[in-house]
Amino acid sequence: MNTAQIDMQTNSTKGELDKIVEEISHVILGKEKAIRLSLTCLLARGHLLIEDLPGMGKTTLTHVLANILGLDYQRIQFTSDLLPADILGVSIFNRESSSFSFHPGPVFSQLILADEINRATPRAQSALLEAMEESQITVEGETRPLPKPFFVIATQNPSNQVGTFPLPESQLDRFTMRIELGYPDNMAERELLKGCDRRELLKNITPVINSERLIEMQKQAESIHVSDALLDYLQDLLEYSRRSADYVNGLSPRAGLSVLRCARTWALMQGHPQVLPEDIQQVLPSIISHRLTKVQDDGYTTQENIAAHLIKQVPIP
Amino acid sequence: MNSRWPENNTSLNSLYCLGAGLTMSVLPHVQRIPGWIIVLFLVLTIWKLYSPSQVNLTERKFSITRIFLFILMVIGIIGIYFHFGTIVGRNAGVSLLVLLAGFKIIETSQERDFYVTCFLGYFLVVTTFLYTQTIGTAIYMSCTVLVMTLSLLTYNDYQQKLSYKASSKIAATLLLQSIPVMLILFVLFPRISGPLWGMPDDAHTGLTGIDDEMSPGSISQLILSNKVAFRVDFKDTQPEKSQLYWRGPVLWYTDGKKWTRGESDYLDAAPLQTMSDPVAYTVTLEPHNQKWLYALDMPGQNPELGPDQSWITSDFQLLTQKPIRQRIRYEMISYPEYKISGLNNDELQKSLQLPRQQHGRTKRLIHQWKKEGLSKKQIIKRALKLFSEDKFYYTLNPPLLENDRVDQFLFETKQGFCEHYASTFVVMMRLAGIPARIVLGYQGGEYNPVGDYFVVHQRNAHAWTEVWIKEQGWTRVDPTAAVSPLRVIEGIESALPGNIIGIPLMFSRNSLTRQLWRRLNYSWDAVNNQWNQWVISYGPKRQKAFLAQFGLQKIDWSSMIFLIIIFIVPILIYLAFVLLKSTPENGEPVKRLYIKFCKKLARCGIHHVAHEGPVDFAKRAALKRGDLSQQIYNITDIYIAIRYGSNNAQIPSLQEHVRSFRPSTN
Repeated sequence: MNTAQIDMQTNSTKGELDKIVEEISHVILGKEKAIRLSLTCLLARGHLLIEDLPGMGKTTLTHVLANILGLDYQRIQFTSDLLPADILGVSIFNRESSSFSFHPGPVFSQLILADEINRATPRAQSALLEAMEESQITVEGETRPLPKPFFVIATQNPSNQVGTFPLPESQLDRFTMRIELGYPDNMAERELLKGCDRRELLKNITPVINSERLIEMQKQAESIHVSDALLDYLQDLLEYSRRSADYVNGLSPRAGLSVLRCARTWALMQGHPQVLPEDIQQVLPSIISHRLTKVQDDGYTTQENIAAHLIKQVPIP
Repeated sequence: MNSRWPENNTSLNSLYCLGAGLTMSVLPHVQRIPGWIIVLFLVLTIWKLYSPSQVNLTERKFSITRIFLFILMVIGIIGIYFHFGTIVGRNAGVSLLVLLAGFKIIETSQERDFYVTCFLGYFLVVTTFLYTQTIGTAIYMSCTVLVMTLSLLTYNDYQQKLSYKASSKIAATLLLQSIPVMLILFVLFPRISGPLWGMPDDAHTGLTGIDDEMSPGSISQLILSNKVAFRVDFKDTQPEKSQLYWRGPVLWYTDGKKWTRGESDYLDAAPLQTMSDPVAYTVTLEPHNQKWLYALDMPGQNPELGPDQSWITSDFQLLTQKPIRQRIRYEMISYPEYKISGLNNDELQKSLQLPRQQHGRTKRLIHQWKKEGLSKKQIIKRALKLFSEDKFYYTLNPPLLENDRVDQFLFETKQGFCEHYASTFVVMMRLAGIPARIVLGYQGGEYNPVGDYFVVHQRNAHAWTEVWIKEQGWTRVDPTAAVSPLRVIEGIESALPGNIIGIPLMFSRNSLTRQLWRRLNYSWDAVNNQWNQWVISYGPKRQKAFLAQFGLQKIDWSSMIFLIIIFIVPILIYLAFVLLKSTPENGEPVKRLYIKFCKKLARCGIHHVAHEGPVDFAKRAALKRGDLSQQIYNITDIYIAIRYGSNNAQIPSLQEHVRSFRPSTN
């Protein structure tokens, strides 16, 4: 394939993705960056954690994403009495066949919305998180593959809210991105208030692409060119996070891989034939903010702050 | 920081270099310090190189190895104390340093240890110069410094990108780059007379030369030495070889065995009557740890080493205030033809002094001569005739003399060296009532046609006599010449077998190769002479003379420091500039072009920030300067395509665009 063809393909993919973003933006108003990031995360085969206060549109975003990408979709409402079997499935004795038959749980679908994940006990949380990492689950001695593509979008309330079990760092690391939606701006708010019910809008959404096309796009993103100069930059960032005395721990190699995958996808979404430092800078905040902890957390450190600090410290080579 | 040895190959390489460098700097000391220290040092070094991580002393505070090493070190230090009776001083200090270097390399596991050991190695290099400062030493030590620098380089090559060859090249370049600074410091650093710091007392024991007393065998030992005593550069005329008597101490007193100098007066009024043109020359005297200088018979002036540093005595010795422990250079005038009249009472007594009740047989002989009615002059002639006609031999290995040495030599053994002849002759003269004295010094010298100067070796050491004759005053008489005339006319070389002069067997077979060897020797000595003149003897006088050539006649040390700063600061600034310029950030040509582009925009007030991506910057710049937006986007696109799209074919295009990008500054 020559460069012109690649460019053309990239451009057509960009068109499709722009259309998806546009569609979603009709429902989630004024949150284009968050929408693009969540799309990036899914295209980069990552799992997404949306953290915000109740009522900010977390669930709605997930619904829209599932619908528009044409994925089959299950929602698990995490509560403090949720058991692993409620997620994974359970074997039930069938009298007619005189044997146990497995009833798959909600985890066996392409997109899972784990709603308010931090309200469940660590035991239930870990059942899902294992599935996320391995893309397969083992129930009663039998390993069962999960469908492809397989995404988990988890939402959680900020950990300082009552009745939450905060995810430990090791499990947070499994989420490629953590994004916040935040309050809508003035205009978006007005439009939201004037417009009709969001749930009605959801029903009208038709899939723009299907899961095959999604997998294709994933592959396309992986073929986006990455130069040595860019890798130098990425390594400098990782190196800085590890060397600097500002952070408790440096970024893991998995974080580095995630940044690169997401940067590629972001570049695809922007229609760039190659990854640019800007692409890294765009995706970096949502990838590293839940992985890095400032040594002296003053309580005001936001996702943007911690990443902006890192980006400022590292010159582009 | 943890130990780097076990897991890191680079550090291992640098450790090998360090071991090699240390060993190289220790090796020249093999002859000078006790052998067991060298062996201990080598064992410790090899142990460390063989298993670098095994002897890791940082992990556990108290391990058996650690205790063992500590005890070994204490034993070593005690051993040095017992060997030398001290742990300071030159030899003991160097031994201690070598010993501790061995222990330092064994405990090297951290970065700091490495650097400390390395600098210890550089210091060991310096200690060798306490003993010898020849060209060979300098070359060898440069190689050692190169290896030490190589170890520093490999240690800092974290990514192991450099081969040994490449690192050596860098190390050599580094050393070459340091030469300008070194030269400036060498030439301009203010010199003070005397060494910069006091040398330990044992530093001068190795110096050879004529002693201030003479006993049988004292000179014949020197004859075996091939060392240079001094070099002489004649200004215009060269005296004949038979006139080359280099005057040293004058001996007056004898106890029948030994001859000593005694006190000499200052020369108040010159009793020297000159009878020929003066011979002007410059002497470069090797250190001999004695308080006198040498000059051609007869010295006509004080060599003026400095105020109250030297003087000339009434018996024409050139004495100095301090022992000569550094090579010095002085200008002299001598008169080959002279007359010294005047002999005061004191001198007369001194010059007739003899031990009581000795030399009975000789006394009888002289009495007999006197009875024959011989005049003083005739007695002198008779005595010389005795030496030349009777069976006297000139030999380096005379038989041992006991009891009355003069009698035994004169009547029994009849084999001797210049000191035998001179002392016997003086005793004979004094018995005859003729004032006489012995003069020690050198006779002859070798002309070096390459460097156009004379070399006087230790083997030219000689003893001759002076007798006082009424009409002529003090007259030189060389009884050795009567026995072995060749010794005086042709020089000592003709009177000695070839192997003493140091011609190797393979060169001594025929005259052609002997010539070649001579020629090589002369060239080598000439090079050495230049090295001595310009490097080692570069003292305050030389410095002044050298700087005067550049119009800096009256320069004091503060101006020299000022000059040093003036010369070195630009070099350092230049180096800093080069170093800053070649940071990896600016290394790639594409990046350089982009930086150029950014600089051009910076002139318009749009400054690129280090962490700003090219597209972001282009957007910002285009927003500020709408008129330039097309160009800015063009350049940015090409830059992105090359740097992030690896499309190197566009480099010329980028060059062109950046060159033609000329934003107006308003």
